[in-house]
Parts: sequence; structure tokens; C-alpha cells
Amino acid sequence: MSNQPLPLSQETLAQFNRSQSTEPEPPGPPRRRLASISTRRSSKDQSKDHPHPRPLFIRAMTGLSSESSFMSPSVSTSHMSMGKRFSFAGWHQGGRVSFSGLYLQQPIQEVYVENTYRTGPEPGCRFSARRTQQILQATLDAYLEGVCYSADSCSQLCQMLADLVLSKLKDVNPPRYKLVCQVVVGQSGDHGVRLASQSLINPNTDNYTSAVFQNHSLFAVAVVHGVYYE
Amino acid sequence: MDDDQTVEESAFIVDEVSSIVKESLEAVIGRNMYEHNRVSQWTSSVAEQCLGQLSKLGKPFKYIVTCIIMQKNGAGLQSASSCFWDNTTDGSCTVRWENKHLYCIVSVFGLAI
Repeated sequence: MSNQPLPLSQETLAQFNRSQSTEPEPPGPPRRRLASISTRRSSKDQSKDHPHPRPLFIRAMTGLSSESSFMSPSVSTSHMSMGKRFSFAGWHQGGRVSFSGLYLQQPIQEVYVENTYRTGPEPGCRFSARRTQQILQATLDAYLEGVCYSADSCSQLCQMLADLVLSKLKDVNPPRYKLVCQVVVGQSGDHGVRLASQSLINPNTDNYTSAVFQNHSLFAVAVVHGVYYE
Repeated sequence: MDDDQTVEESAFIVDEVSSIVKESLEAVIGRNMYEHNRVSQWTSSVAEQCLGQLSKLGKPFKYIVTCIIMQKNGAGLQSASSCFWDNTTDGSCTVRWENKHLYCIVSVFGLAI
């Protein structure tokens, strides 16, 4: 429609004017055509169900402007009920605009998000330390069994484990929980290592868990915190 | 202007956090040797001092601080983290610090409330 040449638009405008001067059109084929247009765009439903004039305005505008029939505006006025005044006004504007190729895409539906008034996790939707610990331990055991420490491979292994654990936990993550997963892989030897973690969190909703793996060559510690997003 | 200020005040600023971490590392460990008996106390007090300073910033965050201390004798250690959170508000900061006798890695995660 937008790529049609200009002469056609002049012609249709002329037709538009003519049909507007003969306002009370007798019922006939044009009306039926309009009816088919309007039902395809479900303008009937809108007039019934949507009390807000604005969405109706936008939809009717794009709906009619995307059609190629410019012969039936007058029919549309006679056809329209009182409740559709907005869509008629919108059509004039939208029809003009569509010649320049604008407003032809579907309108982006506005999403109205209401307050949930929720201050804590729902019962049964808390971060489960026990289940998380099982997942952690199973992952570490499965991937580190028989692996020898080497500085190059273990840095990748460490990052891979962190990503893997996180993706596994995401599948069972309760809603509104943020996850922080830390994996430390080190060489086994006669040196001392100490890992401590402290957090400023709400003990009623948030929790953490850890898992340790050790073989002859390396040790690994995984710590996961689940923090509720309030 | 006001918006910028409020965003600045409630954001996780890595430089700020990393200077807090370095200060507490210097204060707690300083030039001490690796001593097995004292290391567990050091790790907890580093984490505690960091949390104390972070909470004084008065930002709407929950914090997670992890501290690793390792003796320096040629052994290797890797640390990696992955997070599932809101990138626009939350942040993390990792500081690697060392003295003559030990390595220390402190990771701070700030999760917006």
C-alpha cells in the first residue's frame, strides 16, 4: 500500500471526497465490504469490550490504513455506531499517514503491570539449600572425577563448572531469586588454603550452600547463594 | 540532574568497593606471614570488615563477600563465578591481593533489593 504511486493516491482522494459528499449511502456491496474489513480487524469486539478509547483509536487507525480500500469512508461513518467516534477520527489521520508509509506496522501493545504487594517469597517457593547442594555435589563429582590439575585447563574448567552449575540451578530456581555461584579449583599439595564467605542478607528468605570435591591432584569448592529480589 | 544523582547513589560502584576491600586487607593481614592458626580468623575478619564498610555506604544492596587466603608456595588456584541477576543494578568486584607470603582473593557481590 505504501509503495503505490502518487497518482493513485490522488485518485483515491478524489473518490474519497466524492463519496463523502454523498453521505447517506444506500446499503449495498460497499457496506458489506466494509463489514468484512471491520470484522477482520475485530472493531466490533473493541467497541464492546474496550472501555478505553485509546487502544481502540490506535487499532482502528492501523487496521483501516493497512487496507487498500479507500472507497468506503463514508460508509464507515454511516455504519459506525456512537461508540466508534474515536476510531473514525483516527481513521482520517491514519489514512493520511499511511500514504507516506508510516504507521503500517502493528502497534506495540502497552502492558499494564499492576502492583503485586508481595514482600516475601510464596510458601514452597524458597531457595532450597538441600536440593542445591545435591546438584552442586553431583556436578562436581561428575566432572572432576579423575581430572588432574593443570593451570591452563583448570582455568577453563573452573569457568565451565561455574556456568554449568548456574544453568542447572536456573532450571529449578524459584521465582524472584538471584543466584551467585562461585567455583574455586586449586592444586592439592602441602600448602594451606582458607575460604570464608560472609553475607549481608535476609536469613528468612536467602540462603547459601556449598560443596567440596577433592582428589589426588586437585580440590574444588563451589558456593551458591540464593538471594531473594524484594 | 536529580535522576543522575539518585542513580549514582544507588549503583554498585566497583572502584568504591575495591578500595574498601584493599583497605581492610591491608588492615587485617598487612605483612603477616601465613600462619595456619590465624588464617581462619583473618578470612572472617576481612569479610566482616568489608561488609561493615559496605553497609555504611547505605545503599539498597544485599552483599556477599568471599575471601580466599592461600599460602604462597607455587601451587595454583583458580576462581570463577557466574551469576543470575539483573545486570543493570547488580554488580561484582574481585580483588586479588598478595604480600610476600600469601595470596588473597576477595570477591564482593552486590545484589540490589
